Amino acid sequence: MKKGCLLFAHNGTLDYGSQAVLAAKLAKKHLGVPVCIITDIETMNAMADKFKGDLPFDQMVIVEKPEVTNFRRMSGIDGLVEFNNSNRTSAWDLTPYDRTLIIDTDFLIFSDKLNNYWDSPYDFLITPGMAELQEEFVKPTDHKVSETSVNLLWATNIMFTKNEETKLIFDLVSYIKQEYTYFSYLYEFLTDQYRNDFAFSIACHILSGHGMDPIHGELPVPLFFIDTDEIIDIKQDGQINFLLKTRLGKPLLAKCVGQDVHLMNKKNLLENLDKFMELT
Amino acid sequence: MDERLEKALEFANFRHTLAIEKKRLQEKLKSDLTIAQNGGIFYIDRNFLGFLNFINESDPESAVVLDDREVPVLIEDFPAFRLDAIQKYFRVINQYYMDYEALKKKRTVKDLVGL
Repeated sequence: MKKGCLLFAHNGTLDYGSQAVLAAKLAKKHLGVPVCIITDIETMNAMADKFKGDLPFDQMVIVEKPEVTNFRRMSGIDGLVEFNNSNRTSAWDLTPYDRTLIIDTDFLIFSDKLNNYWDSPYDFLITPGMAELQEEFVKPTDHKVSETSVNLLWATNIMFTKNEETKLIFDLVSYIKQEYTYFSYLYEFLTDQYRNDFAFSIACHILSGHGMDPIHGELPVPLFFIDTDEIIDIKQDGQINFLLKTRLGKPLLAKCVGQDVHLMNKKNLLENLDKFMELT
Repeated sequence: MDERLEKALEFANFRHTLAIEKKRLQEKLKSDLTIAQNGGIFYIDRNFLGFLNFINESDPESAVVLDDREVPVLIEDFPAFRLDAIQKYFRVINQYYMDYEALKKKRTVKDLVGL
């Protein structure tokens, strides 16, 4: 069975292409699998230019850049930041692999834990949560779509076998995205922006017989650093030091070694790109 | 600021950082204490190891074991699987012990995070 990693990257306010290069290199290093990227011609040219053609992707699928409909505020960046997450549903159609691991470009792999899941009998696996080191920042909506809604699954990592059952999941996610406002009323959440996490959570809930029998398996929960956490040092041995903002205002220090991480502070990630590249 | 308060807050900051570092090690421990076999994922805890020893009393070549999601998994070479699980457990636990002991000796925030 052909297996590999799949990433999506479309540049906008932020250089998602460079993030993708880093994420791909780390995935290849620690998981030893090929990587395919879904991107647009503009982002591809930007990556080729920046990395002088030395790109880690075994395959590149060029698509039309989706229309940007999502904006958010991010730490350290003035104004709204556009981000393009709307074509995740095309993963099933576009993946060249029989068994695919989709990862976000801000998900950095520093261990081989995910290799344990290639042979899982589940055709579809997704991350059930994030491990935040600061309990005070854990909100009910980190575990549920809303306080009165279903469990939240994080589309940061998804592993799936390409078959008719998983096609059903991706097609339903596509429908939920199309009728997002309707589902926001039904599942009681705010629609300030489209989130793949919500769409996949709702799809899995529906297809599980509305929560009766889960259709999804669970991938391991990675460490999670929120967008006010900052990287202050990256050592040669792979230790990453962070400055964590606290509710009391005084920051705390934390470190991480050999653990997969999901970094929300993308501006800070890109500022440390060169140091991260040394770990690849 | 009153010096007594300043010292107290400095200590509180150290304890908070220590708590975060302990939590990180615990997350790493949970993540490292897993073993995969034939598509099944097993968390290696004391119960699991005890159960493996219980099965081992019958000296089987193979055995069906429920994984963490209660999916039945055929372990074709049970003795090898049991040995792998035991070795992995002690390897990970020993490392955790060393990390934990090292943590106990730290007295400053800088030491805790290796700066």
